[in-house]
Amino acid sequence: MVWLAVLLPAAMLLAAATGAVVFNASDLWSALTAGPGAVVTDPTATNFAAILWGIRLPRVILAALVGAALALAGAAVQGLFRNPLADPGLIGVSAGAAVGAVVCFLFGWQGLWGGWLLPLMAFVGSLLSVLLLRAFNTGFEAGGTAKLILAGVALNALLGSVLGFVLYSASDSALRSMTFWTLGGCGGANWLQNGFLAVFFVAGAVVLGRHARALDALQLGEVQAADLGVSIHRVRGEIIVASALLVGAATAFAGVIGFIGLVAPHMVRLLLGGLHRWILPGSVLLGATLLVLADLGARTLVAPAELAVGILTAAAGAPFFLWLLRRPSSWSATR
Amino acid sequence: MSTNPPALLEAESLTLVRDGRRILDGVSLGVAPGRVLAVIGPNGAGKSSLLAVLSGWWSPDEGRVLLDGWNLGDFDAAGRARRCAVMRQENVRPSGLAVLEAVELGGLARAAGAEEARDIAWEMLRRMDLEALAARDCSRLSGGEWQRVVFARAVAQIWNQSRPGVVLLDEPVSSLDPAHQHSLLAEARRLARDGHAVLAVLHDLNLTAQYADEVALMSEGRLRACGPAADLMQPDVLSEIYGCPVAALVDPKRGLRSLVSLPSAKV
Repeated sequence: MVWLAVLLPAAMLLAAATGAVVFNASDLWSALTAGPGAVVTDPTATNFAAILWGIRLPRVILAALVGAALALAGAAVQGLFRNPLADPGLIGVSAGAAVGAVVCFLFGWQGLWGGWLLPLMAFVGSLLSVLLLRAFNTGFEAGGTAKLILAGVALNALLGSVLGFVLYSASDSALRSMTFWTLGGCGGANWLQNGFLAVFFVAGAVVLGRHARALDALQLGEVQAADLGVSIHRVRGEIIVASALLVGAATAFAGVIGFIGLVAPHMVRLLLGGLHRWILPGSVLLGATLLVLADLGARTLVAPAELAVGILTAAAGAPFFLWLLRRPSSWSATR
Repeated sequence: MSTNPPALLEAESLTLVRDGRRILDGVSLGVAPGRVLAVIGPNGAGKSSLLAVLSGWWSPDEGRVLLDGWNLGDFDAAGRARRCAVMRQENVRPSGLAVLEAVELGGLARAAGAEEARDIAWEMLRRMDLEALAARDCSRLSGGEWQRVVFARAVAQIWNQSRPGVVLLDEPVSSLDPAHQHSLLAEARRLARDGHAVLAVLHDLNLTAQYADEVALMSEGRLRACGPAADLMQPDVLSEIYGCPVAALVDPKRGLRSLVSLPSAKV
């Protein structure tokens, strides 16, 4: 846990210092301490402070918030479904956001309302997915959770076909920005967006944190958790909605970024064990670190061009996940 | 069913209908503090369904369950958990959870601090002879070890509270070796002695005769008889309920009596 807590600021500093203009330690320090409003008197000098506060930091912080939100939601949903494969991406929440956003591009609305219509539509898309899912959170009897995840998988497939249709009927120029969006990216970050995302993140984290113990009990089974005093129906609903808000908000600003929500909680479980009082905060730290590093890679690997960060997270996450599955000890037959 | 003292957990003419079949049909019984009630009967008699209703997981179609005089449905999950612990037949052994942590979950609904919850969990591990396994991952336990962990968790739920609790046990010794069968049921007796009410679904006739105060005989969703174990654990009663011959063997030297079931050849 301590290592994870050290790793995140280290990754953020590294990412803040790296880019088209590379900072050394003293540049970084003076720019950080100068603050966002620093006035540069020498016009020939590189304005480190302006780059740092205007471009780098918003982007790094967006990546950290998005990574943290996705990993936290992933950890909670995996715990709820007692299914290590569960991921907000799997149950249609990210796909709902993607459909909302892509519809914006289809009609050429992406610039409307000062560019805020796009994240709003994405958010509404994910919210609609959640409301639909919630309709399946009815059964109190055993199997209620299985029904929920199956409904999510079906919803995901349906939204995938909508997405495919929209992409199919889009113009070439719109297609490029849509594709970039469905693969995710942290470009174009600003402080206002980060503020919104931070509010959602804190709200989601507070709700999920309160259910850490209930998530532990749920590992024994739903019936058993109810025996132990967990109000299954209410807890299940709150966890689903909180996770969806986290993913919806993250996806609204950064597009669909896969594998962070799946891989980060898994790694944390290996490192810190099965209690959610460690898994949840650990996933926040690791998810943020991973996405900060992935975004760093996305904007530097093919500079001056930029990769969609989802390409990197999937390229690194999928092989890691396969390796994880091959480890005999991490996959228990009784799970 | 009137018992003396008044029952802590009471079922009033429970009826449960599933797919048009009456799985429970007017079952009334009660367990008083200080008592061990064994529910026995052939497969499909409705024993597990009875437990599902008594634990509040299923609502009965008719009748009601009273916990300490209050309608069970009026308790919230946490309030019910503080008064009524359930040990089910559980086959999910969660990975990533140590034995001590699993038993600590028994204190989930209690107001106890983390330290007290840990103390209670250790006490339960001591009683169930599980101390050596405290740090072991639950997924690495044998079926019998896990069954003892589940029992320890259930007891931790109602252990040492100001008011007596109810413990519902569904075939608690099905995976245990003989020595641990006795030690678990002895713990159940001890709970009764401490003032709790214990209800256990059992299959072993001799263990039932040895550890139960009262016996409820069920078949085809109905309560066939309910009364003192000494009266009901008799060859003729059991033969009729199970539909196979049951004989009593007596060892006069040691004053022991054991019940033996026989193949149902045409006698």
